[in-house]
Amino acid sequence: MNLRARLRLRPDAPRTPSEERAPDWLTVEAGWVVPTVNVPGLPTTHGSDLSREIFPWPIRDLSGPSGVGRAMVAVLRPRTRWWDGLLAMAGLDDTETVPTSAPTPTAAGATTNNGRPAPRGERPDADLLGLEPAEQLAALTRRHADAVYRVALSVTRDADLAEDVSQDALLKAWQALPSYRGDAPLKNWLLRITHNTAISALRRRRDVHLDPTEFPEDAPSAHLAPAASVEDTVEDRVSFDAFESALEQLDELSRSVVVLREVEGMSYDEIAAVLDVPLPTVKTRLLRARRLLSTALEGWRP
Amino acid sequence: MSRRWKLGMHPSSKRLQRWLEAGPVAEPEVDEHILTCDRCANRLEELAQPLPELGVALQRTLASPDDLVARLGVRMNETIRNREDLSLLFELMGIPFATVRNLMEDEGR
Repeated sequence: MNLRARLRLRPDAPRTPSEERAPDWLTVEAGWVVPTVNVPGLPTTHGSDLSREIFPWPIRDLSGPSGVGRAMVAVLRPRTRWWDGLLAMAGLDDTETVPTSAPTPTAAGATTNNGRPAPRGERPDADLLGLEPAEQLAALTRRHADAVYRVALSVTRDADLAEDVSQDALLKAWQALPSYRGDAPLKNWLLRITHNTAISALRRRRDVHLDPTEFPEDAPSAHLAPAASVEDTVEDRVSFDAFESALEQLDELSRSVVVLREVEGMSYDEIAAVLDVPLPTVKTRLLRARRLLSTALEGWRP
Repeated sequence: MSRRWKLGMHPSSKRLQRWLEAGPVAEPEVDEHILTCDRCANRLEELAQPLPELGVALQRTLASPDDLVARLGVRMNETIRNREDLSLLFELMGIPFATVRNLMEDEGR
């Protein structure tokens, strides 16, 4: 198959300095199945609406001529592993690659990241923004999956649902990476997405369970992964059960607050930003949660 | 008592300590007050004993499966591939993308 995809930059579309030199038409030909594509906000042709909400390609990658081509590669190659197209972009396989261009210096002389300013200050994940999309997702998952899962589980208290939420949150964050402004650590931003996703998932599950003709398969706590190892003593297990019961008694917000503070080591300000609640709320929830949990921990010592 | 605190006075350290030990139910006025008083919330924070075992216990109860990263990788790969396949199908059928998106979101639920 040798079909052709053509993209034209809309005359009224905002252009970065790097796009000023972009050709009006970008042609991609390497056996694509869909001939024409409309990328919202940039080019206009006929075809489908490749919204970033559905496709996990950062809009950043659609902001310049090479970015458009990259998105085309990834989106239009059917029935391949999703990273094949990305490997092709990076020149790591033997398929034809699309035209690419290096990041263009801005008027001020600073190098941009696909036309987007670099985040302010040094951040632990700053390098992630410069990676290829496939590697971005892999790195996001590798670095933050555990924290994402902990926050998801603290809200949902259900291991299966927490894994679903983790997946959704990581994909959402990956898709939305271009909107990440870099004014807070990327992990905090990701955990905010996770928390919101978990709350939504929990609400949906509760709505489903409100149907009087249906019963939930199990109580949420029944899905929790067994935390004890074989070396655990019965006494230890009993004490720890008290702790888990106390954790269950807390509301979702308090659980999230205490996890972000005690496990993720965030400051009060950071927690308030992640959970989108006032600072005094963070403090009072944390104090109450600590008090309740410390009482439950009296019979258990690690 | 609450009115007095609203006029710029605050619970004593002894009362704050009681709140820490006995809880919000025993000291409802303090509980109400600290919701809006940053100063008392900070004082309570100072009075509270550090709980090093709390972090350990939370990590244990919220521990992720050993193969979480691998499993998520496989699942995300599958999700992305499904989205691609489905969008391609609808593209060829000329169905508006907003419809596809709604269908996919429903599928995700």
